[in-house]
Amino acid sequence: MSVVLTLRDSVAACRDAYETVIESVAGPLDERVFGDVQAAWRAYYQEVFGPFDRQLRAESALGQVDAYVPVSVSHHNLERLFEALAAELPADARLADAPIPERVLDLDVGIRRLRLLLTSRAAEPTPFGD
Amino acid sequence: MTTGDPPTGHEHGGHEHGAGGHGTQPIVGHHAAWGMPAAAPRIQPYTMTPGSIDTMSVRVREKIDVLGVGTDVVDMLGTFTVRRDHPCAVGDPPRVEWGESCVKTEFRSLELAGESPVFGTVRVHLSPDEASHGEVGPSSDGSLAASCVAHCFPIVELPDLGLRLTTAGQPVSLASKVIQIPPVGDVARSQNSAALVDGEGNTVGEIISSDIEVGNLLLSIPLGSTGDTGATGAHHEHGVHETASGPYFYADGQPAGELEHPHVHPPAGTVEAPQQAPGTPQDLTETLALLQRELRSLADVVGRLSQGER
Repeated sequence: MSVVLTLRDSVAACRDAYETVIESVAGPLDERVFGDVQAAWRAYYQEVFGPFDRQLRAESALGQVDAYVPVSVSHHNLERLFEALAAELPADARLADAPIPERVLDLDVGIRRLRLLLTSRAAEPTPFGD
Repeated sequence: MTTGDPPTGHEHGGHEHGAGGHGTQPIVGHHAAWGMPAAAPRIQPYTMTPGSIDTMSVRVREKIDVLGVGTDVVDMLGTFTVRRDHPCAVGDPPRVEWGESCVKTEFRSLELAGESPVFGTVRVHLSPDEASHGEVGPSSDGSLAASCVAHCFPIVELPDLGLRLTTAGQPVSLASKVIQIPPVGDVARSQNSAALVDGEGNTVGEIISSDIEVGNLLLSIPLGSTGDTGATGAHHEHGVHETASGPYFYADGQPAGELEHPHVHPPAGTVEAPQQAPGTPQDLTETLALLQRELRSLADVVGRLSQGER
């Protein structure tokens, strides 16, 4: 028998799996090797967030999913940031070597803020009954 | 409604002082003027919506270097207006669906202002000599997010330094990944730097990077029947911009219902736009008649006021 996950269940799964990304940026972010952080992000983005995003799209055709749209928007924004950094920085370089350090700040803030968003969306009851 | 009634900010079907016609809505100030929250249009994610002209708030962080002056990261706030065409199918078979369609865009305005301790006031707007344009294209890499690109030709004004700088025809290319159109919440990031050139053609600096936060949708006016007529009988070619304002981009006003071309116009109303532009000749005639009545009424009021002053 298959178990039907609600969007909130799926966000909770993202929240739990996202800890691997948080671990990849532990300590001073500048000292981290970009490729290591990117690898942790890519695995999470494709394997855990991807299924959530597909579920969100499917359910958006059936009803209001507004509470979860920011989760998707923020993930794709962060993915775009990794893409921008990858164009500027070799995978084996430290983030301190980024030519546009403002984007490393974006990465630092973005990664931590996404954790808060996932935690809040996984915890709060929504007006949509899930 | 009488003058003693509390304002609702959005009365329908009535008018005051006998002026205007049936269905006239009074102009009494925006929701914000009456202390009410503004009604933001709802945007449906993963849905291709009909073309429109959208005005949105924006925050831009631009890293600028000016030779002999210095480098600074300037934070600016402002608005931009973009005309986005009706979506077109790019797949085979052609289907206007999220992730399998493209939307051509043209930036009609960008007005930014910020303060820098290095440069003083910084203002950015679009060059009138170049068409700043873009496209929301199909998804890639298995992602549900559509690839959004924009090629903008900014003018950077530094009035405290007496400088007005262009990118001399080189666009600043921006890219982002979006799940809704208009892309509220989207962050677009530049893919290139661009030299800044003064009026004499001298390179005097550089836009090193641009990072853009798209804010709220302030106004959305549907294109109505002014979409692409498909007169050439071809698909939009994804990723190709012959000219942003070329024959594929603008239409001659032929009603959408009479079109025979591969562009499928989704049902209107997918986006709950705050205003509906007149879409048919009949709508326009009715709107003009209402405006005429309002003008006559205003003229009466002005006449009475003038007599009272005497």
